[in-house]
Amino acid sequence: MGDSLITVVAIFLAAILMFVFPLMSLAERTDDISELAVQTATTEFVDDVRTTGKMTLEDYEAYLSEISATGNSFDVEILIQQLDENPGKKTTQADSTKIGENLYYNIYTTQVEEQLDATGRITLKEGDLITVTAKNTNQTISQMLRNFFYMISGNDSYQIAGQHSGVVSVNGSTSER
Amino acid sequence: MKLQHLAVIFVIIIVPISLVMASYIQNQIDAIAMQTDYDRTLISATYDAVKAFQLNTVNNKYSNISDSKIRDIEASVNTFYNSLISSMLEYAISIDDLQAYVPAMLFTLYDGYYIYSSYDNVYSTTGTGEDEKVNIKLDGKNFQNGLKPYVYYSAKYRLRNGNIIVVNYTLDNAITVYGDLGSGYITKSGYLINPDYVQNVNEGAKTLTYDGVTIKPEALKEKLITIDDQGTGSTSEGEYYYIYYNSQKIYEDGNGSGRYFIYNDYTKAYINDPEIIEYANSTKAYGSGTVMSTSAFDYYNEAKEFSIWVRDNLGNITQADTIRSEDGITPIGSDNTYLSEDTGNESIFYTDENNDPMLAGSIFNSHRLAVIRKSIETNLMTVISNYHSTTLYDYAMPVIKDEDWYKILNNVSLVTFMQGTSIGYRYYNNYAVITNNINKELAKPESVYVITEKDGYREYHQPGCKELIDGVKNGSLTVIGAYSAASFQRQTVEINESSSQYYYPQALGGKMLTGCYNCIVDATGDYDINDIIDGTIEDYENNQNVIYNSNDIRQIRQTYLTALARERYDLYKSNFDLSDLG
Repeated sequence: MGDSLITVVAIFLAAILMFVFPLMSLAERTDDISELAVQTATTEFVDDVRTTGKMTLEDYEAYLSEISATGNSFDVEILIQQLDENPGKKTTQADSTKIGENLYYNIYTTQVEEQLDATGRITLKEGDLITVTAKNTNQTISQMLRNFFYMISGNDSYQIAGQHSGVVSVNGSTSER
Repeated sequence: MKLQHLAVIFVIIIVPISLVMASYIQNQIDAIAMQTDYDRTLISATYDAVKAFQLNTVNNKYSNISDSKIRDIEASVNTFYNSLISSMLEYAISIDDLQAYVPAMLFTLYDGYYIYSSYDNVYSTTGTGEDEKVNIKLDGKNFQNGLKPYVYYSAKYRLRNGNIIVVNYTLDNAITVYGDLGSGYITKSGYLINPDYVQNVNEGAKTLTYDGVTIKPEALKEKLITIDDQGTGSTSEGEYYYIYYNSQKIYEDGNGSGRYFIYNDYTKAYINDPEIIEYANSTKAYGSGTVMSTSAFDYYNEAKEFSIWVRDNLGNITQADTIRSEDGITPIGSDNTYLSEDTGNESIFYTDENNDPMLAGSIFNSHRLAVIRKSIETNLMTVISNYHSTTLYDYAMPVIKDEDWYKILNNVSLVTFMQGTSIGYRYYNNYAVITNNINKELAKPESVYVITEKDGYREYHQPGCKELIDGVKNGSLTVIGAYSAASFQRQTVEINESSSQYYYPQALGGKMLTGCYNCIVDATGDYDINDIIDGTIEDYENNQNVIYNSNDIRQIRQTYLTALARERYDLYKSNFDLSDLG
């Protein structure tokens, strides 16, 4: 009697050790690789915008399809901080061409997407700041397996994220090229 | 005991151990990932700050004037924080949140440095009398963040007669000497070169030879876009000959017209001052009708006089006479470890062919770098360890690597420090160094480019470029001139809010001007610039094996040494007193 009980326990443990743990660690590695891919894509996208001074619909869509190629769904947040061309409204001393002395106004994801849909491009100028953050919204396999043992709840329960930001260093050209 | 029992016991023992191990390793991985993340954030924010400083100074014609420079630096600090905030959206929301973690920012400039950190705002308004009002309360509570006073790269030396003098250094070979040498207080500034190299000085024709190379007046030309009518926004493009007068560019409007202007706010501001006009007209005598720059001649001529004076008066100063910055009285004597570079018993200011300050490896330069490093180190250490903030973290300066010191000491650069944020079981403490190669502060030996022409197509090169040297040697390339790197940067003319035009100052005569693929784009094949300065190019591995002798590179040397001297002479120097000379 005691023997068969211990055998059942041993089989159970062996099942966990041999299947669940490797699966969990494999799933986590997959997420790590996805995260790396997302981070790389985000960095490339943001640096592209920074060095050309414009964001086009094609670039944005290419970025979105690149990150969804990891097999996850993402929530992409874009924040563009534009240098206010009329600093004189708030201060008398500031110079509109001096980066770092004047004010910014913010453009958020929905506004960015609206403008991209309408005109196909957003032109930025020297000194504007752009930040892009991508977080997964689906449950990855590793998250599911983990939830089997313990639950993480709340807003920021993402597993895969990529973020990059920086100052735009050129005035974007308004021509079609 | 049965096998099953053993297996279960094994699992019971091993699983907790491996779980703890896994969590520990995961923590370490997270800490390193976080650290890398902070490093990346810090470097990109620093880069953005330098970029903003560059853009602001390149487009600011008054960027060398101290007030304007402070403004540019403060704008750059703002950009740093803006960039840092935007990349740390999840952790920080305002500049105040971040200031606790950035104990210092170091801006090294041409002749000194600024430190952005906290300082005590000690002005008290409690008293009524004039004296009581400045009741200094150093209680560490009234701190605020800002730029601390400018610190010059200076060192004190004790002379043989017991007097103490001060020498201000710069990032190149210019120095200023203050003090009483025994016959009253004096101030002298100048460039330190090897005076024996300067010969055959002809004041009338403004020519001389420097180390076998003839230095003579030269015609300088660049392109400008000027706004003719602000209302309609009409502009015109033109190429103008120019000279420097008191570090300011004076352009002649149309060759031989005798009308001169200053480029101000993208328009021509005509000069009426008869003194400047007379000076500009007088330079035409050296050439064929165009205004001629004699800056290179003046540089070597004045430097010779200054170097001989320094040799005669300060020639016996060695490292042992340097005074400790801690107490300001005792010389370092035989303490060879006080400075990072030990120059032993060599005379620092006695310049000859064994100590040529134009070369990077000279005794003067080794000592200069060591002194600047000591000054920065001492001040930064104090500033960082005394940093006031609301956190309970103990600030300490991180150890700066030698290669980073090399970057800091040879360039106009920005160094930022970030520490105190928690990463796993540790605190983050690191720094970022970004150098600023495009500026109007410093003419580095590497940032003077030589322009050549071949079949109507122009290219600019580093002076050590193999393609340039070979091309000039076999006659396929014609040397046109040499200018500082900033002349090859795109300039912006802002006509109104919505339109701007761009031009390259050195793209002259409607010809294409591009960077050489061998040296500007990919600099791996370049020869050492010090070899160009000293006259022969030797094999990197074997000093005896001369690849190009002084005849092969004579023309490049002449163009390069003239341009380097001119660019250095014409830099705006706020702390430079040339009145005593002559």
